[in-house]
Amino acid sequence: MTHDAGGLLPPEEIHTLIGPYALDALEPHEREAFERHLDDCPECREEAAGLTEAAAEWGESLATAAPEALRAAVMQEIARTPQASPSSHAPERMRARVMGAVEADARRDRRRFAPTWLVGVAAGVAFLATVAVGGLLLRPAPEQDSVAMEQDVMMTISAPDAVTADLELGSAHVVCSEKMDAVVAMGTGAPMPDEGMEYQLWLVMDDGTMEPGPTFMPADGEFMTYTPAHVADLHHIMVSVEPAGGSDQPSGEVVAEATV
Amino acid sequence: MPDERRLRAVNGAVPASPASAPSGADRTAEGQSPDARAADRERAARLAALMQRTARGDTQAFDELYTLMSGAVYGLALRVVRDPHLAEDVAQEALVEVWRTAARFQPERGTARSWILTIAHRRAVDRVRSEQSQADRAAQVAVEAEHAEATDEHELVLDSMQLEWRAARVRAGLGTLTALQREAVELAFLKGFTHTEAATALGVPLGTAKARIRDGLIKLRDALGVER
Repeated sequence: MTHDAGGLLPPEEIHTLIGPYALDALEPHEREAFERHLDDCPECREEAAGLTEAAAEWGESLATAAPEALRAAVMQEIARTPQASPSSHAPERMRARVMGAVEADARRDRRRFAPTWLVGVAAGVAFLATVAVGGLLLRPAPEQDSVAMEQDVMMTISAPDAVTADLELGSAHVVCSEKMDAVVAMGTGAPMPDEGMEYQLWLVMDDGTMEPGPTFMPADGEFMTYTPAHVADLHHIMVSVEPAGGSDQPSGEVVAEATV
Repeated sequence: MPDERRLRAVNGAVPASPASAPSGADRTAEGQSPDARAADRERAARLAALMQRTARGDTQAFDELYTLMSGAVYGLALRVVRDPHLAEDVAQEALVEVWRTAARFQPERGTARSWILTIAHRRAVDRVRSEQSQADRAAQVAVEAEHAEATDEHELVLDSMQLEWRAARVRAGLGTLTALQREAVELAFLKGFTHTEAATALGVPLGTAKARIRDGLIKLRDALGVER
Protein backbone atom coordinates (compact mmCIF):
# COMPACT_ATOMS: atom_id res chain seq x y z
CA MET A 1 0.00 0.00 0.00
CA THR A 2 1.46 3.34 -1.01
CA HIS A 3 1.94 5.53 1.99
CA ASP A 4 3.46 8.97 2.05
CA ALA A 5 5.20 8.45 5.38
CA GLY A 6 5.84 12.19 5.37
CA GLY A 7 8.07 11.82 2.32
CA LEU A 8 7.86 13.56 -1.03
CA LEU A 9 5.17 12.55 -3.47
CA PRO A 10 6.20 11.66 -7.00
CA PRO A 11 5.38 14.61 -9.29
CA GLU A 12 2.46 12.88 -11.01
CA GLU A 13 0.78 12.33 -7.64
CA ILE A 14 1.06 15.83 -6.24
CA HIS A 15 -2.32 16.72 -7.81
CA THR A 16 -4.00 14.23 -5.48
CA LEU A 17 -3.38 16.60 -2.57
CA ILE A 18 -5.72 19.17 -4.05
CA GLY A 19 -8.84 18.18 -2.07
CA PRO A 20 -7.09 18.11 1.30
CA TYR A 21 -5.30 21.35 0.38
CA ALA A 22 -8.60 23.17 -0.09
CA LEU A 23 -9.72 21.98 3.35
CA ASP A 24 -6.42 22.75 5.09
CA ALA A 25 -5.97 19.05 5.74
CA LEU A 26 -2.29 18.87 4.87
CA GLU A 27 0.78 18.81 7.06
CA PRO A 28 2.88 22.00 6.70
CA HIS A 29 5.52 20.37 4.48
CA GLU A 30 2.81 18.89 2.25
CA ARG A 31 1.11 22.25 1.97
CA GLU A 32 4.36 23.95 1.01
CA ALA A 33 5.08 21.30 -1.61
CA PHE A 34 1.60 21.67 -3.04
CA GLU A 35 1.82 25.47 -3.10
CA ARG A 36 5.09 25.22 -5.03
CA HIS A 37 3.24 22.93 -7.44
CA LEU A 38 0.48 25.52 -7.78
CA ASP A 39 3.07 28.05 -8.95
CA ASP A 40 3.67 25.79 -11.96
CA CYS A 41 0.26 24.28 -12.65
CA PRO A 42 -2.58 26.46 -13.98
CA GLU A 43 -5.04 23.55 -13.99
CA CYS A 44 -4.53 22.88 -10.31
CA ARG A 45 -4.67 26.61 -9.56
CA GLU A 46 -8.03 26.79 -11.30
CA GLU A 47 -9.42 23.75 -9.51
CA ALA A 48 -7.96 24.75 -6.14
CA ALA A 49 -9.57 28.17 -6.42
CA GLY A 50 -13.01 26.62 -7.05
CA LEU A 51 -12.67 24.07 -4.25
CA THR A 52 -11.39 26.70 -1.83
CA GLU A 53 -14.33 28.91 -2.73
CA ALA A 54 -16.74 26.05 -2.01
CA ALA A 55 -15.04 25.56 1.36
CA ALA A 56 -15.36 29.30 2.02
CA GLU A 57 -19.06 29.19 1.25
CA TRP A 58 -19.34 26.28 3.66
CA GLY A 59 -17.28 28.12 6.26
CA GLU A 60 -19.33 31.29 5.94
CA SER A 61 -22.55 29.36 6.37
CA LEU A 62 -21.37 28.67 9.93
CA ALA A 63 -21.15 32.38 10.74
CA THR A 64 -22.31 33.53 14.12
CA ALA A 65 -21.98 36.98 15.70
CA ALA A 66 -18.60 37.45 17.31
CA PRO A 67 -18.44 38.54 20.96
CA GLU A 68 -18.76 42.33 21.28
CA ALA A 69 -15.37 42.67 22.99
CA LEU A 70 -13.56 41.19 20.00
CA ARG A 71 -13.77 44.28 17.82
CA ALA A 72 -11.97 46.56 20.27
CA ALA A 73 -9.39 43.88 21.02
CA VAL A 74 -8.62 43.43 17.33
CA MET A 75 -8.51 47.15 16.55
CA GLN A 76 -6.19 47.77 19.46
CA GLU A 77 -3.87 45.01 18.38
CA ILE A 78 -3.66 46.13 14.76
CA ALA A 79 -2.78 49.64 15.89
CA ARG A 80 0.53 48.20 17.05
CA THR A 81 0.95 45.63 14.25
CA PRO A 82 3.05 46.62 11.24
CA GLN A 83 1.94 45.30 7.89
CA ALA A 84 3.89 42.96 5.67
CA SER A 85 4.89 43.62 2.09
CA PRO A 86 3.47 41.74 -0.90
CA SER A 87 6.21 39.08 -0.82
CA SER A 88 4.81 35.85 -2.17
CA HIS A 89 7.62 33.71 -0.90
CA ALA A 90 7.98 32.04 2.47
CA PRO A 91 10.95 33.26 4.52
CA GLU A 92 12.47 29.79 4.21
CA ARG A 93 12.72 30.01 0.45
CA MET A 94 14.37 33.37 0.62
CA ARG A 95 16.80 32.04 3.21
CA ALA A 96 17.77 29.22 0.84
CA ARG A 97 18.52 31.75 -1.85
CA VAL A 98 20.48 33.97 0.49
CA MET A 99 22.58 31.08 1.77
CA GLY A 100 23.32 30.22 -1.87
CA ALA A 101 24.55 33.78 -2.40
CA VAL A 102 26.66 33.61 0.76
CA GLU A 103 28.26 30.38 -0.39
CA ALA A 104 28.93 31.77 -3.86
CA ASP A 105 30.47 34.82 -2.28
CA ALA A 106 32.69 32.70 -0.01
CA ARG A 107 33.89 30.69 -3.00
CA ARG A 108 34.77 33.92 -4.79
CA ASP A 109 36.70 35.13 -1.72
CA ARG A 110 38.84 32.02 -1.66
CA ARG A 111 39.78 32.28 -5.32
CA ARG A 112 41.12 35.81 -5.22
CA PHE A 113 42.72 38.32 -2.95
CA ALA A 114 39.90 39.88 -0.98
CA PRO A 115 39.99 43.63 -0.53
CA THR A 116 38.31 45.02 2.59
CA TRP A 117 35.13 45.99 0.81
CA LEU A 118 34.50 42.42 -0.33
CA VAL A 119 34.68 41.28 3.26
CA GLY A 120 32.17 43.97 4.05
CA VAL A 121 29.87 42.65 1.35
CA ALA A 122 30.21 39.08 2.59
CA ALA A 123 29.35 40.31 6.04
CA GLY A 124 26.42 42.14 4.54
CA VAL A 125 25.20 38.99 2.86
CA ALA A 126 25.67 36.97 6.04
CA PHE A 127 23.84 39.69 7.88
CA LEU A 128 21.07 39.45 5.34
CA ALA A 129 20.91 35.71 5.96
CA THR A 130 20.51 36.32 9.68
CA VAL A 131 17.82 38.82 9.05
CA ALA A 132 16.08 36.52 6.57
CA VAL A 133 15.96 33.73 9.14
CA GLY A 134 14.22 36.15 11.45
CA GLY A 135 11.52 36.63 8.85
CA LEU A 136 12.60 39.67 6.87
CA LEU A 137 10.00 41.40 4.79
CA LEU A 138 10.76 43.10 1.53
CA ARG A 139 9.01 46.25 0.51
CA PRO A 140 9.24 46.51 -3.27
CA ALA A 141 7.88 49.48 -5.20
CA PRO A 142 4.35 48.69 -6.37
CA GLU A 143 5.39 48.05 -9.94
CA GLN A 144 8.15 45.65 -8.98
CA ASP A 145 7.72 41.92 -8.84
CA SER A 146 8.91 40.73 -5.45
CA VAL A 147 10.64 37.71 -6.94
CA ALA A 148 12.65 39.89 -9.31
CA MET A 149 13.44 42.21 -6.43
CA GLU A 150 14.86 39.45 -4.26
CA GLN A 151 17.12 38.46 -7.13
CA ASP A 152 18.18 42.05 -7.69
CA VAL A 153 19.00 42.46 -4.00
CA MET A 154 21.00 39.26 -4.02
CA MET A 155 22.93 40.26 -7.10
CA THR A 156 23.59 43.77 -5.84
CA ILE A 157 24.97 42.77 -2.49
CA SER A 158 27.15 40.05 -3.98
CA ALA A 159 28.30 42.06 -7.01
CA PRO A 160 32.09 42.15 -7.38
CA ASP A 161 32.17 45.95 -7.21
CA ALA A 162 29.68 46.29 -4.34
CA VAL A 163 30.52 48.97 -1.79
CA THR A 164 29.08 49.03 1.72
CA ALA A 165 28.61 51.98 4.03
CA ASP A 166 27.06 52.35 7.45
CA LEU A 167 23.63 53.86 7.69
CA GLU A 168 22.47 55.20 11.03
CA LEU A 169 18.96 53.82 11.05
CA GLY A 170 19.14 51.26 13.80
CA SER A 171 22.06 49.06 12.83
CA ALA A 172 22.11 49.37 9.07
CA HIS A 173 24.09 49.45 5.85
CA VAL A 174 23.70 50.60 2.31
CA VAL A 175 25.24 48.54 -0.46
CA CYS A 176 25.83 50.07 -3.89
CA SER A 177 27.04 48.51 -7.10
CA GLU A 178 27.91 50.36 -10.29
CA LYS A 179 27.72 47.12 -12.26
CA MET A 180 24.16 46.53 -11.06
CA ASP A 181 23.41 50.27 -11.00
CA ALA A 182 21.51 49.66 -7.82
CA VAL A 183 21.38 50.52 -4.13
CA VAL A 184 20.23 48.31 -1.27
CA ALA A 185 19.55 49.65 2.22
CA MET A 186 18.99 47.23 5.05
CA GLY A 187 19.13 47.07 8.82
CA THR A 188 17.80 45.95 12.14
CA GLY A 189 16.68 47.78 15.22
CA ALA A 190 15.12 50.63 13.29
CA PRO A 191 12.47 52.55 15.21
CA MET A 192 8.95 52.75 13.82
CA PRO A 193 8.08 56.10 12.31
CA ASP A 194 5.10 57.96 13.74
CA GLU A 195 1.67 56.79 12.70
CA GLY A 196 0.82 57.62 9.12
CA MET A 197 4.50 58.14 8.26
CA GLU A 198 7.02 56.01 6.42
CA TYR A 199 10.75 56.10 5.80
CA GLN A 200 11.83 57.18 2.35
CA LEU A 201 15.17 56.70 0.66
CA TRP A 202 16.68 59.57 -1.34
CA LEU A 203 19.54 59.50 -3.85
CA VAL A 204 21.64 62.65 -3.73
CA MET A 205 23.66 62.87 -6.92
CA ASP A 206 27.05 64.49 -7.46
CA ASP A 207 25.39 67.44 -9.17
CA GLY A 208 23.15 68.03 -6.18
CA THR A 209 19.93 66.66 -7.64
CA MET A 210 17.78 64.74 -5.21
CA GLU A 211 16.02 61.70 -6.59
CA PRO A 212 13.17 60.13 -4.63
CA GLY A 213 13.66 56.50 -3.77
CA PRO A 214 11.27 53.89 -2.39
CA THR A 215 9.40 54.13 0.89
CA PHE A 216 9.88 51.39 3.43
CA MET A 217 8.80 50.35 6.92
CA PRO A 218 10.54 48.26 9.55
CA ALA A 219 8.93 45.05 10.72
CA ASP A 220 10.13 44.20 14.22
CA GLY A 221 12.88 46.73 13.54
CA GLU A 222 14.08 44.97 10.40
CA PHE A 223 13.96 46.56 6.98
CA MET A 224 15.34 46.14 3.52
CA THR A 225 14.77 48.18 0.40
CA TYR A 226 16.17 48.24 -3.11
CA THR A 227 16.29 50.86 -5.83
CA PRO A 228 17.91 51.16 -9.23
CA ALA A 229 20.33 54.10 -9.29
CA HIS A 230 23.05 55.58 -11.48
CA VAL A 231 25.69 54.75 -8.90
CA ALA A 232 28.62 56.34 -10.76
CA ASP A 233 27.02 59.77 -10.23
CA LEU A 234 25.71 59.06 -6.76
CA HIS A 235 27.10 61.22 -3.99
CA HIS A 236 25.25 60.03 -0.94
CA ILE A 237 22.07 58.39 0.29
CA MET A 238 19.58 59.93 2.63
CA VAL A 239 16.63 58.59 4.63
CA SER A 240 13.83 60.83 5.79
CA VAL A 241 10.45 60.38 7.43
CA GLU A 242 7.63 61.20 5.03
CA PRO A 243 3.85 60.84 4.99
CA ALA A 244 2.79 57.30 4.04
CA GLY A 245 3.06 56.82 0.29
CA GLY A 246 6.16 59.02 0.02
CA SER A 247 6.90 62.50 -1.30
CA ASP A 248 8.47 64.05 -4.37
CA GLN A 249 10.75 66.21 -2.28
CA PRO A 250 11.99 65.52 1.22
CA SER A 251 9.58 67.24 3.55
CA GLY A 252 10.19 65.44 6.77
CA GLU A 253 13.01 64.92 9.20
CA VAL A 254 16.22 63.50 7.73
CA VAL A 255 17.13 60.59 9.98
CA ALA A 256 20.19 59.09 8.33
CA GLU A 257 22.77 59.62 5.65
CA ALA A 258 25.41 57.40 4.09
CA THR A 259 28.22 58.57 1.85
CA VAL A 260 29.33 56.31 -0.95
CA MET B 1 -30.25 42.48 19.07
CA PRO B 2 -27.93 45.23 17.78
CA ASP B 3 -25.43 42.78 16.30
CA GLU B 4 -28.09 40.98 14.35
CA ARG B 5 -29.46 44.19 12.89
CA ARG B 6 -25.98 45.26 12.01
CA LEU B 7 -25.35 41.98 10.22
CA ARG B 8 -28.54 42.52 8.27
CA ALA B 9 -27.66 46.03 7.28
CA VAL B 10 -24.25 45.25 5.90
CA ASN B 11 -25.05 41.99 4.18
CA GLY B 12 -26.06 44.11 1.26
CA ALA B 13 -28.30 41.69 -0.50
CA VAL B 14 -30.80 41.36 2.31
CA PRO B 15 -34.07 42.41 0.66
CA ALA B 16 -36.33 45.18 1.92
CA SER B 17 -39.40 43.02 1.51
CA PRO B 18 -39.98 39.26 1.44
CA ALA B 19 -41.13 39.56 -2.16
CA SER B 20 -37.69 40.37 -3.44
CA ALA B 21 -36.01 37.54 -1.56
CA PRO B 22 -34.87 34.58 -3.65
CA SER B 23 -38.04 32.60 -4.09
CA GLY B 24 -38.31 28.93 -3.27
CA ALA B 25 -38.67 28.09 -6.93
CA ASP B 26 -35.36 29.75 -7.79
CA ARG B 27 -33.54 28.38 -4.81
CA THR B 28 -32.35 25.20 -6.47
CA ALA B 29 -29.54 23.10 -5.15
CA GLU B 30 -27.69 23.65 -8.43
CA GLY B 31 -27.43 27.41 -8.29
CA GLN B 32 -28.77 30.72 -7.23
CA SER B 33 -31.27 33.17 -8.61
CA PRO B 34 -29.72 35.88 -10.80
CA ASP B 35 -30.43 38.47 -8.06
CA ALA B 36 -28.56 36.46 -5.48
CA ARG B 37 -25.64 35.92 -7.84
CA ALA B 38 -25.40 39.63 -8.53
CA ALA B 39 -25.54 40.36 -4.81
CA ASP B 40 -22.75 37.87 -4.19
CA ARG B 41 -20.60 39.46 -6.89
CA GLU B 42 -21.20 42.90 -5.47
CA ARG B 43 -20.23 41.70 -2.03
CA ALA B 44 -17.11 40.01 -3.39
CA ALA B 45 -16.09 43.21 -5.16
CA ARG B 46 -16.67 45.18 -1.98
CA LEU B 47 -14.52 42.81 0.05
CA ALA B 48 -11.75 42.94 -2.53
CA ALA B 49 -11.78 46.75 -2.48
CA LEU B 50 -11.65 46.76 1.32
CA MET B 51 -8.71 44.36 1.22
CA GLN B 52 -6.81 46.70 -1.12
CA ARG B 53 -7.39 49.66 1.16
CA THR B 54 -6.50 47.61 4.22
CA ALA B 55 -3.24 46.63 2.54
CA ARG B 56 -2.36 50.31 2.41
CA GLY B 57 -2.98 50.70 6.14
CA ASP B 58 -6.52 52.03 5.98
CA THR B 59 -7.93 51.14 9.41
CA GLN B 60 -11.39 52.36 8.50
CA ALA B 61 -11.49 49.88 5.62
CA PHE B 62 -10.32 47.16 7.98
CA ASP B 63 -13.03 48.12 10.45
CA GLU B 64 -15.61 47.63 7.71
CA LEU B 65 -13.97 44.34 6.76
CA TYR B 66 -14.35 43.33 10.40
CA THR B 67 -18.05 44.13 10.28
CA LEU B 68 -18.55 42.03 7.19
CA MET B 69 -16.37 39.05 8.09
CA SER B 70 -15.97 38.76 11.86
CA GLY B 71 -19.07 36.61 12.16
CA ALA B 72 -17.79 34.19 9.55
CA VAL B 73 -14.30 34.11 11.08
CA TYR B 74 -15.58 33.59 14.62
CA GLY B 75 -18.34 31.17 13.62
CA LEU B 76 -15.97 28.95 11.66
CA ALA B 77 -13.40 29.03 14.47
CA LEU B 78 -16.09 28.14 16.97
CA ARG B 79 -17.30 25.21 14.91
CA VAL B 80 -13.80 23.79 14.67
CA VAL B 81 -12.40 24.47 18.15
CA ARG B 82 -15.75 24.10 19.96
CA ASP B 83 -14.77 26.28 22.92
CA PRO B 84 -15.99 29.92 22.71
CA HIS B 85 -12.97 31.41 24.51
CA LEU B 86 -10.56 29.52 22.29
CA ALA B 87 -12.60 30.56 19.27
CA GLU B 88 -12.35 34.19 20.32
CA ASP B 89 -8.55 33.86 20.58
CA VAL B 90 -8.33 32.17 17.19
CA ALA B 91 -10.62 34.79 15.63
CA GLN B 92 -8.50 37.62 17.00
CA GLU B 93 -5.27 36.05 15.76
CA ALA B 94 -6.82 35.42 12.35
CA LEU B 95 -8.19 38.93 11.97
CA VAL B 96 -4.87 40.48 13.01
CA GLU B 97 -3.14 38.26 10.47
CA VAL B 98 -5.58 39.49 7.81
CA TRP B 99 -4.52 43.02 8.69
CA ARG B 100 -0.83 42.21 8.83
CA THR B 101 -0.66 40.31 5.54
CA ALA B 102 -3.37 42.13 3.56
CA ALA B 103 -0.84 43.12 0.88
CA ARG B 104 -0.30 39.43 0.07
CA PHE B 105 -3.89 38.91 -1.01
CA GLN B 106 -3.84 38.27 -4.75
CA PRO B 107 -7.25 38.83 -6.37
CA GLU B 108 -6.31 36.67 -9.36
CA ARG B 109 -5.75 33.67 -7.08
CA GLY B 110 -9.17 33.74 -5.35
CA THR B 111 -11.75 35.82 -3.52
CA ALA B 112 -11.09 37.96 -0.47
CA ARG B 113 -13.61 35.91 1.45
CA SER B 114 -11.85 32.63 0.79
CA TRP B 115 -8.48 34.22 1.58
CA ILE B 116 -9.76 35.49 4.93
CA LEU B 117 -11.55 32.28 5.84
CA THR B 118 -8.53 30.19 4.86
CA ILE B 119 -6.47 32.17 7.37
CA ALA B 120 -9.15 31.65 9.99
CA HIS B 121 -9.63 27.96 9.22
CA ARG B 122 -5.92 27.18 9.23
CA ARG B 123 -5.47 28.83 12.62
CA ALA B 124 -8.47 26.96 13.97
CA VAL B 125 -7.25 23.56 12.78
CA ASP B 126 -3.71 24.27 14.01
CA ARG B 127 -5.18 25.03 17.41
CA VAL B 128 -7.31 21.91 17.45
CA ARG B 129 -4.39 19.74 16.41
CA SER B 130 -2.19 21.07 19.14
CA GLU B 131 -4.86 21.02 21.82
CA GLN B 132 -5.92 17.42 21.32
CA SER B 133 -4.19 14.19 20.52
CA GLN B 134 -5.41 12.31 17.51
CA ALA B 135 -6.76 9.48 19.63
CA ASP B 136 -8.97 11.88 21.54
CA ARG B 137 -10.33 13.35 18.33
CA ALA B 138 -11.01 9.95 16.77
CA ALA B 139 -13.00 9.02 19.87
CA GLN B 140 -14.86 12.31 19.67
CA VAL B 141 -15.97 11.62 16.11
CA ALA B 142 -18.49 9.00 17.21
CA VAL B 143 -19.83 11.01 20.14
CA GLU B 144 -20.28 14.23 18.25
CA ALA B 145 -22.11 12.77 15.28
CA GLU B 146 -25.24 12.60 17.42
CA HIS B 147 -24.95 16.20 18.56
CA ALA B 148 -24.25 17.70 15.14
CA GLU B 149 -27.80 18.64 14.27
CA ALA B 150 -28.55 20.21 17.63
CA THR B 151 -25.46 22.42 17.37
CA ASP B 152 -26.46 23.59 13.89
CA GLU B 153 -29.79 24.88 15.19
CA HIS B 154 -28.20 26.72 18.09
CA GLU B 155 -25.58 28.47 16.00
CA LEU B 156 -28.12 29.70 13.48
CA VAL B 157 -30.18 31.58 16.06
CA LEU B 158 -28.21 34.82 15.75
CA ASP B 159 -27.96 34.79 11.94
CA SER B 160 -29.72 37.12 9.60
CA MET B 161 -32.18 35.74 7.12
CA GLN B 162 -29.64 35.72 4.36
CA LEU B 163 -27.14 33.72 6.37
CA GLU B 164 -29.88 31.19 7.13
CA TRP B 165 -30.50 30.91 3.44
CA ARG B 166 -26.78 30.38 2.77
CA ALA B 167 -26.66 27.70 5.43
CA ALA B 168 -29.62 25.96 3.82
CA ARG B 169 -27.88 26.05 0.43
CA VAL B 170 -24.73 24.55 1.90
CA ARG B 171 -26.69 21.82 3.65
CA ALA B 172 -28.45 21.04 0.39
CA GLY B 173 -25.07 21.00 -1.36
CA LEU B 174 -23.55 18.68 1.21
CA GLY B 175 -26.61 16.51 0.71
CA THR B 176 -25.42 15.73 -2.83
CA LEU B 177 -22.35 13.96 -1.46
CA THR B 178 -22.30 10.26 -0.71
CA ALA B 179 -22.27 9.41 2.97
CA LEU B 180 -18.61 8.39 2.72
CA GLN B 181 -17.62 11.62 0.98
CA ARG B 182 -19.50 13.71 3.49
CA GLU B 183 -17.87 11.90 6.37
CA ALA B 184 -14.42 12.52 4.90
CA VAL B 185 -14.88 16.22 4.14
CA GLU B 186 -16.43 16.84 7.55
CA LEU B 187 -13.53 15.17 9.34
CA ALA B 188 -11.14 17.37 7.45
CA PHE B 189 -13.02 20.64 7.43
CA LEU B 190 -15.00 20.67 10.65
CA LYS B 191 -12.69 18.62 12.83
CA GLY B 192 -9.33 19.65 11.49
CA PHE B 193 -8.08 16.17 10.67
CA THR B 194 -5.23 15.96 8.19
CA HIS B 195 -6.00 13.64 5.30
CA THR B 196 -3.58 11.12 6.80
CA GLU B 197 -5.39 11.24 10.14
CA ALA B 198 -8.72 10.98 8.37
CA ALA B 199 -7.58 7.87 6.48
CA THR B 200 -6.58 6.29 9.79
CA ALA B 201 -9.79 7.29 11.54
CA LEU B 202 -11.90 5.95 8.66
CA GLY B 203 -9.79 2.83 8.25
CA VAL B 204 -9.18 3.41 4.55
CA PRO B 205 -6.08 3.75 2.38
CA LEU B 206 -4.64 7.26 2.02
CA GLY B 207 -5.56 7.42 -1.67
CA THR B 208 -9.18 6.64 -0.85
CA ALA B 209 -9.35 9.39 1.76
CA LYS B 210 -7.82 11.92 -0.64
CA ALA B 211 -10.21 10.94 -3.42
CA ARG B 212 -13.31 11.08 -1.21
CA ILE B 213 -12.31 14.53 0.00
CA ARG B 214 -11.68 15.81 -3.50
CA ASP B 215 -14.77 14.23 -5.05
CA GLY B 216 -16.94 15.43 -2.19
CA LEU B 217 -15.65 18.97 -2.50
CA ILE B 218 -16.17 18.93 -6.26
CA LYS B 219 -19.80 17.97 -5.70
CA LEU B 220 -20.23 20.75 -3.16
CA ARG B 221 -18.64 23.23 -5.52
CA ASP B 222 -20.93 22.19 -8.36
CA ALA B 223 -24.03 22.20 -6.14
CA LEU B 224 -23.26 25.70 -4.97
CA GLY B 225 -22.65 26.85 -8.53
CA VAL B 226 -19.28 28.34 -7.60
CA GLU B 227 -18.14 30.73 -10.32
CA ARG B 228 -14.52 31.17 -11.20
